[in-house]
Amino acid sequence: MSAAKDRRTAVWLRALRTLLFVGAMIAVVVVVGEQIRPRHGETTAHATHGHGVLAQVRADSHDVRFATPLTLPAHARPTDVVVRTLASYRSRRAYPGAPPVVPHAIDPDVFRTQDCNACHERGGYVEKFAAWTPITPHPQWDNCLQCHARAESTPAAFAASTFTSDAWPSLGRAALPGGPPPIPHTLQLRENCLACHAGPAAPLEIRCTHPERTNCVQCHVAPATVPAFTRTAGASR
Amino acid sequence: MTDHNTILGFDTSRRGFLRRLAFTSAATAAASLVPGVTFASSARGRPDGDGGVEWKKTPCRFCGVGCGLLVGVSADRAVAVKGDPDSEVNRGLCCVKGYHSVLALYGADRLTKALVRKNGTLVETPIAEALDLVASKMKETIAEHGKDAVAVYGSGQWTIPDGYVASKLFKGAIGTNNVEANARLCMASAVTGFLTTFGLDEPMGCYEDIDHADVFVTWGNNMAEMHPVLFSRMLDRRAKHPDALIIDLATRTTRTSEAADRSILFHPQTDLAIANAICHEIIEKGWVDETFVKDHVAFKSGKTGIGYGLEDGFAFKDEAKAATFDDYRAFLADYAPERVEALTGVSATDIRYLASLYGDPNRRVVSYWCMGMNQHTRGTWINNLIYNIHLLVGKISQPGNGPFSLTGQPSACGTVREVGTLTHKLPHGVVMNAKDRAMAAEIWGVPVENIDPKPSYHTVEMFRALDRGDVRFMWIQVTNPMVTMPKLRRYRDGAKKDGRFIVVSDVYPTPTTDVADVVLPSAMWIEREGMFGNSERRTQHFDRLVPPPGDAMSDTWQLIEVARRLGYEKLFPWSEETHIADIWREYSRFHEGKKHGMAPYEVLRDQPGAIWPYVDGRSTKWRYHAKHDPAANGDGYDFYGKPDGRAWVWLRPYEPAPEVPDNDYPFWLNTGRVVEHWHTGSMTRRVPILHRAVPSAYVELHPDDARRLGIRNGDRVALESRRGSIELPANIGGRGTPTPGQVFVPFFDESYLINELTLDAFCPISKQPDYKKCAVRVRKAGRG
Repeated sequence: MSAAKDRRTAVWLRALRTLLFVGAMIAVVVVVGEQIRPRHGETTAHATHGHGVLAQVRADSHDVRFATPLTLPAHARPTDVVVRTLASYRSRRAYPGAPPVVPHAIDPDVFRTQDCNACHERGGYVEKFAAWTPITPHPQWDNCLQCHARAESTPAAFAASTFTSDAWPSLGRAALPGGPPPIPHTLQLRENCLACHAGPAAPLEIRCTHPERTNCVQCHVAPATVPAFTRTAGASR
Repeated sequence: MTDHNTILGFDTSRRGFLRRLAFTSAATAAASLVPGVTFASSARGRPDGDGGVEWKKTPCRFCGVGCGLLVGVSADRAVAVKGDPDSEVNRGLCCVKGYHSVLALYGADRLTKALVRKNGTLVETPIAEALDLVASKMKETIAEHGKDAVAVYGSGQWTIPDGYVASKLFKGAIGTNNVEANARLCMASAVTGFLTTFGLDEPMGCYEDIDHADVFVTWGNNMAEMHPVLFSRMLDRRAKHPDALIIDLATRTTRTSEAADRSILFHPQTDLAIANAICHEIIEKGWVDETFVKDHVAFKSGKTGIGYGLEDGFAFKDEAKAATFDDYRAFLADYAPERVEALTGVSATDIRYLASLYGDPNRRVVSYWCMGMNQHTRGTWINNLIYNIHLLVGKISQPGNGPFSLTGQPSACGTVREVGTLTHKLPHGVVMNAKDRAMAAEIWGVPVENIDPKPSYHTVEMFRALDRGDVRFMWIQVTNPMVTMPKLRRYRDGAKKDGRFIVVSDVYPTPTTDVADVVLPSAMWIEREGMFGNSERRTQHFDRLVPPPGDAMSDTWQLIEVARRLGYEKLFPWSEETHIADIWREYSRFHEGKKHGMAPYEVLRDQPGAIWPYVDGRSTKWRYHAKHDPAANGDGYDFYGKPDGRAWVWLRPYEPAPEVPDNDYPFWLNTGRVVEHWHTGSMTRRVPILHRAVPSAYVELHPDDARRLGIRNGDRVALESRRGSIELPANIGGRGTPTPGQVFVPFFDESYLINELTLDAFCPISKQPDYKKCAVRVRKAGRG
């Protein structure tokens, strides 16, 4: 009896050892794999261009998901983070859809080489600003300072401006209660929804509740820019 | 926390929270886990803010690229800008100036009332009264000093109707050829380059070349800042075709150099020798396209030692002499790559590399240039020499192959070159040609004797004439010569002399309105209807999208009002409602035919521009090849601009600049622009975002020079030339680095008038001054 019992115990132990070994191997593969997984530069110009909105959003949501405080060791977790809000988002833009100014100093080398995407393609936490890097929705363009002007320390205005633009869209514009709100802007240069609507750098008010659903335009429709209707003579026959 | 979750309308249940955590919804996670964060109050429930915005198309107000914009208009104000995705120019992308262009309408110091100088100060005056005064002063001046004592000076920012009405009034009605434009300072050498080589002005290709080319060579052309949208298209092409190359050939390291695959620096003025050396190498290596050269190319030599136009009344006429390929080859013997190394500062290896790119039959090559080659005392020559390279290897007039001269102003091509607002030009042809005069007289409805067959003053000479007193009345529209004229002090003092009457039409006060006797407030850009013509022969229409402020009136209508006061109402019979369409129809008659046909008004209204020759409802994208150009005869190339049907390769040597650094003035001074500001900054400095980005001018130095002179970033630096001096902050290691022995100053800032230092030497053929080279001394300010 006891021999049979010992045999059973040995079988169990062997099975347990095998299980532990397999588990340990899986753990090693996962941990090492995570360490050596290529991260930066996954969404290169090639990857993002020509694969459509869906593929791009998927790729980026993968990126974005890893850029959370949860992946940081406890001691490195930020405690006093500047979180972007719509107010700060708007303060950097002259009107809805305007290219934002660069609110921080630009390294002299970057000022020449325009390697802004080194940080802004993927995002991440920047200790010296205590903030998360906003992610560009168009990493395929890299003559960055063409559109984004540096906001120098504020010199006296050359001349005052009377320009105003209060055309910011309101939130919660769903046609029906609980329905998906339509996209209030065109997708031109903003093909990657999650760049602004998910991740720790996204303005709070416009963060998406469901970034795991990556086919955004399935439910949220973007408007086309429709030129004003003009009646052409003789159009009605 | 709860507050926040409520605000965002989140499901705050524990399960919902965990589910989101499981998906690591970064937004929720960060917001929920981070203490000490405050959240903005909800914007939910606000009324729709974006209702009522109408989007309307227009070309951009600024550079010669001519991007298509969609301007958002709400309650008669422009409130937003998008790149027009339907525009073949920019395909939805703009630069920072274009995106903020509409802010330039709303500077608080907009000129909204006419101003007339009374007892030394400008006084608000009803605009009708100011126009009366302008007309009576013109009449008085013509009566006392003759018709050639009145002049109009416009710009490449004139709309096509502005320039057309100015030309018709001055050349057709008054009968003086005193019509010039600041485009003389900007692309006159490009025009003479095209005319001497091809017999017809403007590029053969179009921007679509970018989508086909394998190699881009930028000749002294910082496209990353000056033509950023085209540069981004080049970068995009390279991203998709990693074999594509960008080669930057320059005297200053810039963002273009940084983005290029290869940056080659050369000594100022030696681009002439580099181009010839490239041709030398192409011939020696046997890369010449012999069939093309035999069938389509003629060789010519012109005069040499042609001077610099530094003296008043300077005159020069070139003379083309026939030459042969063997003459050309012998001429190039001086330009073997090794022999020009020391002169140019470019290694023979680099010259051979450039030649190999041009010479490789399997690579399509586009050359780009703008002010670097045009603002050059041998500007016409260097334009010719780039054409030589492309002609030798037959890389021209094909998609992705061709030399491409860029312009800096929105309608330098459309208005100044095509309407011909230059002293020798007519809308079709030149005043010297009897047939061209007859055509103009017929379309304008004036006696042919009205049109003077002799050109009068080109721009520099016109301002010299103002100084001398030969010109007594000058009407300046849409430009700021009291910032942009070289050797500025002479011309400013001249304009201020007694017995001169200066009228300035502009949108903001400038150093030019400071010297004016009458200031007329202009309707700017989309405050009136008009057309611009960009660098790729594209004509673009824009409607009046918002009302102009106060009494502001379009430059076209100002000219018409004065013409009527001068008694020419029959020549300018149009109504305010339809005058732009009527002018377009009259003007188009000058260009009828396959070589320059213009798109009808209705087409221009309907689509984001059309490229001329517009034939049978189609734009002609590449000229001089039968495959693309309906005007070309046969089934291949036809350079129909020249009587012999050939393009001319010119034997143009290297000649030095008129003023080169010496012991007294050891530095080259180069001037130019920055991406944020445009022209003299009179518009862009009133856009807060652009002003904040570059609030003032500065002088760029090479770090080695700075160290030697003990100058650190931000130090005040004194620059001095034989004509003037200036003190401004140093900029070292900024966006650009000049070569050692050179300094660079942007010219947009009216507080630092760098043109008091520049030299008024010009290309004897094009009469375009050189703003890129003169000699200065540099020292740290406040030291002996």
